[in-house]
Amino acid sequence: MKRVALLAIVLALAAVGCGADDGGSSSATPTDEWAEGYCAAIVDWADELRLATDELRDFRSLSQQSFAQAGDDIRAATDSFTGELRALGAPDTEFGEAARQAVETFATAAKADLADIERAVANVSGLAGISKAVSSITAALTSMNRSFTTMVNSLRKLDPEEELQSALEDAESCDDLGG
Amino acid sequence: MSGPRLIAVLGYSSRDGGAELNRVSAARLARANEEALPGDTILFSGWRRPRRAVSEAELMSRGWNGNAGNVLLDNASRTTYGNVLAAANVARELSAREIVLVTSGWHARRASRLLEAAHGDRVVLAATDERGTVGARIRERACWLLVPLQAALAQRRR
Repeated sequence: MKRVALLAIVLALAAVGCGADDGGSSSATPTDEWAEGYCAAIVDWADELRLATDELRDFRSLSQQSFAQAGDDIRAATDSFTGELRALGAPDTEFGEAARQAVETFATAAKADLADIERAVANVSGLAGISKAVSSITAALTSMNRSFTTMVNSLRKLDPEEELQSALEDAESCDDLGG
Repeated sequence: MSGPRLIAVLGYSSRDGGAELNRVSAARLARANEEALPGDTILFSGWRRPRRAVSEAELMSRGWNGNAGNVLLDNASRTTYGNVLAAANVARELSAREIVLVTSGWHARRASRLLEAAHGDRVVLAATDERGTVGARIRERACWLLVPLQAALAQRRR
């Protein structure tokens, strides 16, 4: 989230001519800005969810409280992520509206998966229950990951001229994806 | 463990292409070729996508012309987690002395973390050095959200 806020400030400064380039105007197009925001949101979401699920890694030390905390953290990170994606709006391309719709489909699917995670967290009891809850949460996160992949693939398919893909390749925040 | 080395080659599932080996899997196959020695067992792992005639494992095995005495196929695994569980199972059955994990550089960290959870520390990494596309790296980053839980579940299966 911090990265997104910082990015917004950088972009705002660039837009009013405060960047290092004294040429007068920023060269970042709306599509470039969308790509920056998209990767930054993904990096933050993935990192936060990984931290949240890390809390559940050691079965021996798990408690009802640790499940509740992980469930809260997963919800907060995902709500924030879908909020950021929605706030980006449609990318400024000819398929922008279809891209916005792909994001919306993911956000709706993620909401259902969050409900499954909350049910799993609420039903934890005993040692056997812990293993079952971890499996249920893993299944819900797998489903969320699948919806996310569908969204990413949809954006790629919608973009035959690779306008958005090219902006993603150039976006600094996409370097933080690693690999 | 005094059994053979197991070379586990993970297939890359691409929506593009059809009956041909995709570019990423071909690079992994070439990397496996560099690693394999006579006496090794090689495992090609990867499912058959809907409407495809053959699995990724089968496609890789058709392109294989390297060393390794014994070639095995896992046609069922659709995810990295599935790939590494299959590799760990085969390694146990063979009493393999080590697993050489062959995959792409951008995928190697997650795959090796999961394989170590499923099998222990007798894992050697042999990664290709290509950079993933931005789409592959985005998907890879999101897949990390599952790793802590998948690693915990894999460890419990040992």
